Amino acid sequence: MLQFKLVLLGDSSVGKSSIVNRFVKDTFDEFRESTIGAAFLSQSIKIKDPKTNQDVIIKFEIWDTAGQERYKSLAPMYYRNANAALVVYDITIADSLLKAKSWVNELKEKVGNSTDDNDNDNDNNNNNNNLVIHLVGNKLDLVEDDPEMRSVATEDAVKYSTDENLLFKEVSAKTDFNIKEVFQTIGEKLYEIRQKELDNNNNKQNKGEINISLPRPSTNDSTSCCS
Amino acid sequence: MNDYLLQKVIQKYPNRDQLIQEGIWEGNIYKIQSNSDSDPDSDTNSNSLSFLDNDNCGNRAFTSFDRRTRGWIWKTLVLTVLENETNFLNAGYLNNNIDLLLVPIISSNYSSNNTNTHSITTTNHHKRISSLELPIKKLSQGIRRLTPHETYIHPLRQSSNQHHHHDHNYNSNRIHSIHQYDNHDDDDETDSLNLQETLEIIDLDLSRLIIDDIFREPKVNAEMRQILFNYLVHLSLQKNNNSTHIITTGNTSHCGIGGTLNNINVSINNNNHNMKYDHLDLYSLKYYYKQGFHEILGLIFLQIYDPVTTNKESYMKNTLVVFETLMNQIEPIFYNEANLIQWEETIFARMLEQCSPKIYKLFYNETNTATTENNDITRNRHFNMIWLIRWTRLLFLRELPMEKVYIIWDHLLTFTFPIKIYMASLIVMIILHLNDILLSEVDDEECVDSDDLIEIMLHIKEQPCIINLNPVKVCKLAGSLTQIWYSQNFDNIKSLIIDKITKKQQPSKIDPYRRRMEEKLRQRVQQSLK
Repeated sequence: MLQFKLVLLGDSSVGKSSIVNRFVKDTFDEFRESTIGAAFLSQSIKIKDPKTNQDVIIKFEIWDTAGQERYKSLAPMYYRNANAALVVYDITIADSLLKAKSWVNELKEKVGNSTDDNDNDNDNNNNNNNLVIHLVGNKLDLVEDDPEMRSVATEDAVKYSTDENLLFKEVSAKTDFNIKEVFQTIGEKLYEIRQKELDNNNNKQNKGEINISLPRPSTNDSTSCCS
Repeated sequence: MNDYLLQKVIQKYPNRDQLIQEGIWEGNIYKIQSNSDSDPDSDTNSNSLSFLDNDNCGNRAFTSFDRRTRGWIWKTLVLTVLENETNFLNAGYLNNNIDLLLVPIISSNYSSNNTNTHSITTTNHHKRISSLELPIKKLSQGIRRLTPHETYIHPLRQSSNQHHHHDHNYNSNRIHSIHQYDNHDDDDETDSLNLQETLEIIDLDLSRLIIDDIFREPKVNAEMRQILFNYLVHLSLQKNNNSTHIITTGNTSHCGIGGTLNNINVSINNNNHNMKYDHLDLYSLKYYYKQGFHEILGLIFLQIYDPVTTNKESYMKNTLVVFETLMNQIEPIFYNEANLIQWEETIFARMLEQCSPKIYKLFYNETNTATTENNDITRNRHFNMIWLIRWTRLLFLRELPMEKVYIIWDHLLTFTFPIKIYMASLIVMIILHLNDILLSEVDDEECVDSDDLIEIMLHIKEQPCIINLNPVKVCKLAGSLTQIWYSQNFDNIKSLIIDKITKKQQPSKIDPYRRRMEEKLRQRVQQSLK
């Protein structure tokens, strides 16, 4: 089993907790209490290894953050060591995409910086290129009921995602549309990255390059002592 | 049934002091039974109970007070202090000398500070505002400000330096330092919201207040909104210390317990017994709402709310005063990020270290932080903030079963101890109660996964041992710990922990091999008996 840390970021009330609860508990509450600080949930999914066609279990440790945390100084604690980030906006509120963009910028900037530090520890988990960022436009159900409610055009989000090299989907936590697919895509992407890392390490060893530095204990490696 | 409990409480504790000392701190009030045939005083001797657990015999928990009775208790604890005062702002509310402010309506006609205003379409998201179809003043930055300003100076870096300072001067400055963190105004400055932003986020949060169904009622929602708004006005005046907003004729005074505007002269016009808000420009005030306020207020409102009365102003004012009295101690520390971090460093972490070095090491594992660069040291050092934020800001509301929360709040509302110390003591006591879980969940004490710990701490409600947690004992022991902490006699902490806690925990510390052997033996005997 592989274990990955996933963090949800985004403006208040865009539906971060609803997405997590739909994915983990398959429930949806019209009224959900505000997240104070952060919440933690975990869920496992199955993916197919494209080479062997065997099932691989991937466990997500999901950090659901509070959108209104007034000070962003604590945010780095939430996305510390994250392998993936789900940046959520509400497709009925234009401003929430702007907020999502600022989160993407922050992730690219800050996680990138911390990666430089981590590289010294031979920790590849948080390589900036390896942080999987998935942009998600939530509340699709509202737009289906009333198309005029849409404030963020799908094309705009698609273009932004393409430009920034992000994964992107519009979802509905209420109707369960695309929720599992988002996590499935992230899982597959993370697995692909992990396999590439392993291949690279094997290639290095085959070429006689011996990596003498020991890997830092990582929460994301189920074989480590700290898993 | 309800009246019986209330009458019984009133009879037994005719004044506030008795209620606090004999009722709450002695825990006798929680032994009152709803059955009139039983004698509450003939209940179990608390000394015979195991550490922080409910009594095994009888399996009876604590008296479950109805809201009316609990509302009476809380009002007695907080309001009776102010009833005989004439000058305090809160006393003004209680004596009906001051009216609650109405929540202003935001319109395009209003121009704040002569700035240009624009009409914009309202967000569909905030149903209450949008349903009124009010033209709302456009935000200058074009971004909905429900989320924070970006900060450029990382406060953890600052506090990390402070931490080292504290380390060097640990013994001599420990207590001194804990009194020094009331001046983090930078947080306040960046945290401020304008009126529109404030009302948006209040409406959003109130629409998501699910602690009781009554908050779905439009009337209740409107009352909560008004109470919260009045508190935010007071908080704004308090933070900005701007006396020009207030007319200062008549008697003026500073506030003590239950006071609102500590540094502001508050006036009540004695001629018409109404506080003058005429000069108060609600549109230009900075507001400091934070998520969590609404839940604290919600729980208080729930106890004091009277659905049958025709005088709704009365319970609204009472709710405001109780809420504000509590928030006066909580908001400056737990809702201010820099102060919260400093509280963690200078009080909570130090107290935990004194009480249980072993558990302290789990939560503040140096090996975990030592391998990373400076920035990460800072981050890792404060990873406990992730769970502490919710624990402290909501005063255990989401961490413990509601009946236990009520009892803890009873103790908090006596204001016997400063809440910043007492909260740390309460949390330390609960952590000590989780001792076995924490140690068993963590396989290797030298290689602790902080995420595992955070997960445990964010889900303690699900732990079986929490069901048996005796809140009265927790409060009592936390009180003792607070007193010791204040007196700085740290040897007493060790004796408190050894006498009250460690010894009581001994039975669960049986050698696991011995336990396994015993289990096997028991199974063999059972099999042989078959």
